[in-house]
Amino acid sequence: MVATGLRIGCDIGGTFTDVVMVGEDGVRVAKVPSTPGDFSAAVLEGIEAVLATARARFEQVTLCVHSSTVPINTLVERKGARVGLLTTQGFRDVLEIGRASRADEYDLFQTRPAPLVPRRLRLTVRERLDPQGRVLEALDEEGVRAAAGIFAAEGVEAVAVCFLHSYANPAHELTAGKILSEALPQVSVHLSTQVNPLYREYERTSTTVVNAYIAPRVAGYVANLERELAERGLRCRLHVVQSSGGIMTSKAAREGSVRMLMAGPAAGVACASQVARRAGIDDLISLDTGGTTQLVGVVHQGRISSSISGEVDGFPIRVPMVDVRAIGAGGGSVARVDSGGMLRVGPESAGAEPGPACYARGGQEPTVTDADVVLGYLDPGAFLGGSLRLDRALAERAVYERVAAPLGINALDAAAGIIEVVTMSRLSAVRKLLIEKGLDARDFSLIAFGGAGPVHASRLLRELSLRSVVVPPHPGLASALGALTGDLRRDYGRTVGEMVDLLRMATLGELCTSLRREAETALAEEGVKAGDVEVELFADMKYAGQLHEIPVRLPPMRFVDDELPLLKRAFYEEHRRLYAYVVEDEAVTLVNLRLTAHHRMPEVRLAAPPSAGPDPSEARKGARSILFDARLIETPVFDRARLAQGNLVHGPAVVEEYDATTVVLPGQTCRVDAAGNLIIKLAERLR
Amino acid sequence: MRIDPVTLSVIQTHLLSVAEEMGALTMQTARSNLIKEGGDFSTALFDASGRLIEHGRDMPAHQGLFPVLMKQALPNLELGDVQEGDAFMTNSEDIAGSHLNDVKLVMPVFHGGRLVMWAANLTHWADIGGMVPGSYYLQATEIFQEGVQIPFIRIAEGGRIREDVAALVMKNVRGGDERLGDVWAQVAACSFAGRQLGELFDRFGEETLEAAFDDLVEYSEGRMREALRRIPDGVYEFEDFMDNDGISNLPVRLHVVVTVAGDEMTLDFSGSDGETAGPINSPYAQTCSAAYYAVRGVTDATIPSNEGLFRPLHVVTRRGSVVDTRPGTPRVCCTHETATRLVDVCLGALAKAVPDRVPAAGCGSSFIAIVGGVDPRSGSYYAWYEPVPGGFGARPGLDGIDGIRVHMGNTANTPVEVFERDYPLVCERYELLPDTGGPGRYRGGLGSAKQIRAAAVEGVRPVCTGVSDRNATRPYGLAGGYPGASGRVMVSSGDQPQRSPAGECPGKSSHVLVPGESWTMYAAGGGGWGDPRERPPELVVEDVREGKVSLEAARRDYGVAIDSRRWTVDSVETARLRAGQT
Repeated sequence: MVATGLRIGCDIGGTFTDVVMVGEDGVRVAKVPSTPGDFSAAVLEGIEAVLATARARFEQVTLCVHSSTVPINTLVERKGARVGLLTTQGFRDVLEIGRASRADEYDLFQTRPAPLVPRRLRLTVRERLDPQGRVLEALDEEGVRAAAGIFAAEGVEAVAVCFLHSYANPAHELTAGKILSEALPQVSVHLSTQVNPLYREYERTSTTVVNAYIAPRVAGYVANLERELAERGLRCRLHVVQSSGGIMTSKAAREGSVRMLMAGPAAGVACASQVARRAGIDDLISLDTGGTTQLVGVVHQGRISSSISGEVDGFPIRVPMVDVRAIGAGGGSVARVDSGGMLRVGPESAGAEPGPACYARGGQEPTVTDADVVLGYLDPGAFLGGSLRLDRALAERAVYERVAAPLGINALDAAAGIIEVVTMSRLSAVRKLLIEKGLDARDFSLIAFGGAGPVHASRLLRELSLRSVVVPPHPGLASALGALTGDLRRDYGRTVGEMVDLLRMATLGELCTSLRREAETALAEEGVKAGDVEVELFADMKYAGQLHEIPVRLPPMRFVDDELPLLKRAFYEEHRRLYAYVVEDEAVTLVNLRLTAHHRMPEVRLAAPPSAGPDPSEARKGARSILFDARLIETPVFDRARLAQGNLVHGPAVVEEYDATTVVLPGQTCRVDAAGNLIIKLAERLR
Repeated sequence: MRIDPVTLSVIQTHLLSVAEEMGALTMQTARSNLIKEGGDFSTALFDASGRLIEHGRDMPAHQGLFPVLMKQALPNLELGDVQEGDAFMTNSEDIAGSHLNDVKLVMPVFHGGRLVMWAANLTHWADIGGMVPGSYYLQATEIFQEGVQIPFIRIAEGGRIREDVAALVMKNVRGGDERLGDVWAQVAACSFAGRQLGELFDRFGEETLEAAFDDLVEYSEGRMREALRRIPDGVYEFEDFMDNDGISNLPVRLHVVVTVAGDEMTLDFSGSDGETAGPINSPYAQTCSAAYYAVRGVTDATIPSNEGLFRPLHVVTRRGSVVDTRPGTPRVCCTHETATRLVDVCLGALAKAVPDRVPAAGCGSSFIAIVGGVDPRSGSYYAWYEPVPGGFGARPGLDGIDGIRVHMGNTANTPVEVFERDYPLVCERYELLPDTGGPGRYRGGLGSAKQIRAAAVEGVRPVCTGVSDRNATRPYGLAGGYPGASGRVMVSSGDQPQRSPAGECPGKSSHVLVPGESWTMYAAGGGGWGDPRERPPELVVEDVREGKVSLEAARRDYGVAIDSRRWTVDSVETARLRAGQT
């Protein structure tokens, strides 16, 4: 749908809003302070700034993709709409009881997040379906009208409707939705069969309610931003990033806001996967390290590892999302000595305010970034291109007072200890994610980005026996770039809930055709021709006795009965890969059929650096004393902007750029590849 | 400390990571749902002498078992006879005994040819044989009726399962193939730990690690002692009664005297009743689990769990009592029924010492519904285990939690849409129960009800079994808070009253459902904390609007009069009520 022209991606962070513009002549970048309150102000300012650097106009922009934090902030800060919920009689508290287990097994003072719909706005109505969708009790339409009256009196802004087994037959929800819409014309109505027509009532209710809760705010934000952009001359449609890493139009965003909650982390992994594809890497770990957290994602055999559901701020959300694990081990994570004399790092963070002690904004507690300054990894004068001067003395004082003195060691050893401990928890997080995915780190490369990512990524190389560590160009802008790398994407699914042996393939074929039609219609509205849509089909399957299904990607099928063994075989293969066993004589259930429709967007190609020989001395900008393995070593420092393709940097070395610093350890070698990536390997593994 | 604190922190992070990864691997490769999705297992690492050094997943019900597991296991071994790749398995009464479903598997970890550590995991097997599927036989009078007893046996050699030994066990449990899959998962997780620990020993060497183990044990001990010093010295006593043992209808006394002296605490349960005929007897290690849970909850639950954590805690019992049962007695309910009530008793005593750190009683039972039978549509057997969530007790400063798993148990419920599809059953109701939370300045959590009936399928005759307690007594309140409502199990006759009179069932009993009947389990609420008449009236209005407290209870228990049309407090009337005039 989009040929070339100027493409703009933007990402809002806690401190900065990043805007990237990709044109014929390469990438341009603007970093402006975020504007909490009205995030769109910084977005507009950033776009204007980046256009100005190219002397371009809004009219020339052909694609504008936004990775918005408005959905997640609306949820986390509880600033969503006043929502009413209508559900089946006898099941008023499904939303509150949830799965009934407590989040912490030992904490006697824990609390459970209050449901987004208070009990008095959770109304029930007589109606009942069985699991096959047959009507056991007709819908009490008068009861729906009575509920509408209460919702009106209570001033709700949105209503969610979720009846038991509605995934098998939407009729009751559709009728109730119609009655509610007529009675409450100003209120948006969200039916579970439209938001998330899959079985498991709590997860479906929760997803629908979160959608109802954030959609009015997201719609307002998007409409406002679109108007502002149009007034400035933007002609193309605004797109937003989904939690799956794909993108969708602003119109789809207004209806399916719940699909956008994890947009930022997803865009980062999407960017990493594109970097990897161009570098010829199929298996990678993406490591996105910011101030407070580190996000770990996985790409296996070129495909981003995703889940069909996840939990956001304590609420289950059942939409496709990139699998990202967050751990409290970022640059701002705080180091302290606990009451038993043990050194701990994180999960507490100094955040953006006051930030690490070295920011000189009043932070007293030592952070990972402070340890980096003490050890010499970070140059206090070169942070963010020198725009934020770090105070080394403050970093040293914090590390000394809070860690070194209580432990009775010197500040340098304390700082090295902080880095060792935080590295250990990062390793652990990566290993656990790989175990859960049935994968082996030795086949993987690691792509490090985010402001605080590249500085310690090389430490994981040896510990995890990785193939390589890759630091892409502009590591601080990965989420903004990632917004431009996602496919236009739509996801659809229905619960089937039958044993595979009892399935009629023709029925499955009809279901598949109808899902495909839904997807093509939706993408056609976004200007994509049916022929340009790639479709992937998934079956969520499980052994009959298991509780949770595993998503299995299906091979192309004609939906004839002799393909039944094919379904099972695909399940066995995935099951064996994940869990190391299969049992061939046990019944297999096909829970959901799901379809993902993609339209691939034009690739983002960054300008390649000029090529040169292995000697990097042209880019050398100095040297400083840095602690490696308990020894201070005079270490050369290189300017990334001046490194050329083919340059080889031998560790120990430091490569600095505007928003990140990469450390190459002794015994490691760093090569600049054709796309400008830094590829770090153990010296002996370098071919 | 023997080694420098930074190295110690790194080693501890590494050990924790290995133990947690063992857990991830167990979950990933196990075959039964209870492990794979219910997470009913724990993992741990021991030093060569059998000291508990690090826990991965650490379930409340298992924590008393691990500190003694290797100490009681090692005398069963000729150490010279232990080889790399061996695995040992047991559910013996004498080795960290709990109920027979808890099967422990341990493997030695070798480095440079020397045995340097042990890796262990404990999984709850969905069936261990015995009278009924699932092995929860509530009328058991002997341990033999509860399943197969596995002494400390060598289940694997050279990393390979000994098939003849495994076959003997698997022949005596239901779903033997699935259980064998779980054993493989347990072996795989322990072997994985062995490899990871090997790398740790390569890096730091045996000497440093042995010193680190001493340091880690002392570290946890030091922190626990420090926490105990913050509890006022004194003697604190509490008792409560379980409804019955499943066989007789006599209440069973649980009693504790907690003595705090400096940085040590003794929990003496000697005043509890003798062993019971029915299956609520608790082995000593299981009683320790409950005591440790209560103490960790009111001190500092972030202290890493290893041998040192438990050193300052002394659990005293009378051999042959319900809390220290002898070999041979029935015990299947000990891990959640007796243990949960033991937690309540310990917390009740601790509330006298540190009133600001202790919640009122929770629902006091796991309220498990077990529904099973033959599905006439397929002819195959089914069994559905469902904990019905009760109320969490109110806390000083915080209300309780409505409809949640409390203390020992924490497995999740099954979605209604899943079980109606998989079993010939219909759920008619799953809701919170108003007025079940104990009134207080802070309100106790509400209990919930789950009501089921047989689906309209010819020949369906589900057997409904309740495993519950707190039906005869009420969860206590604290600091002037009122108790929560008790639970119950009810059969309602629906449209055929002549065939099945409605009524209450014993809390630990089975009932065969006939068409038209409904079987409902009502879980108890949590106790309240503080005088309900001190609860701010606007919060009472909020509870009434939320349908969690009735208008009558607001008036009667909280002394708050509410104008229910405008949802305002009638302050004159409220002042009069709260002044004690009626």
